[in-house]
Amino acid sequence: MGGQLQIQLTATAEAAYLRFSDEAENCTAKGDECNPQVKFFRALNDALTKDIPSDPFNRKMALSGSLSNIFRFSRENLRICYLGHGQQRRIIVLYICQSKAEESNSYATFAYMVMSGKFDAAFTSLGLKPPDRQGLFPSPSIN
Amino acid sequence: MQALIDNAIPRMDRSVEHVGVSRLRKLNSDDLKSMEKTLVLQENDQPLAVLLTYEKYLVLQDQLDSLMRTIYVLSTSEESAALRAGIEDVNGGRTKELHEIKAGSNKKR
Repeated sequence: MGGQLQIQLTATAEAAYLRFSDEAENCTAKGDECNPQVKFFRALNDALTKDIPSDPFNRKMALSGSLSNIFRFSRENLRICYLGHGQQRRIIVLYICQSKAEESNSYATFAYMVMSGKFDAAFTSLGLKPPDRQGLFPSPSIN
Repeated sequence: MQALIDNAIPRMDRSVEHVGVSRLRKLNSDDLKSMEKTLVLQENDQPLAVLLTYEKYLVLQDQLDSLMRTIYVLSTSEESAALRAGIEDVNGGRTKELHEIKAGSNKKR
């Protein structure tokens, strides 16, 4: 695929980018180059200039259904969500955020969400019994 | 009306074939490589297993991952709010080139 990828940021993503930039800069100014915020900002720049441009429209990063033109890059505690225009070779970063937890895989993440009770109301409305919190894995069963 | 039609006409999935378990013994590597249908292996009319190509399995796995990711984003308050704000920015034309932002940030220092 030819052509350089054009990268744009929304005002939301720009505000986050500048905030992370300032935080990293403050640490660097104090000589604290090993601070996690410095590492995070370096990872953010690498993602925007190397990792994402190397394979921006990889379906493995895409959301599903009507959101399938939105991609979500995730590495360690960095999350970047962007809108992809394959034909225009352009991406628009919708938001950047720093997650507290590292995502091992989507199944584990989903299991965590189910076990947190987030979907209990949804299970009940579907006639399903919420999972047993004592068990290791969520396994909703029919009432 | 659609529900009535859906109920009245049974849907047949041409990509799925129900076969007896003995079919498994007849399959060689060439058959597996060129297999276009998904096989439901059954014994005495009872489905026991599903056989599909490795590529088809990966597609299913990617679709499931994608769905999980979407549910996660939409159900996490921080990310869903940021997603909504980002989309509103795009609709409102509030976007800027990355190199412009970097240049502005460097100039400030």
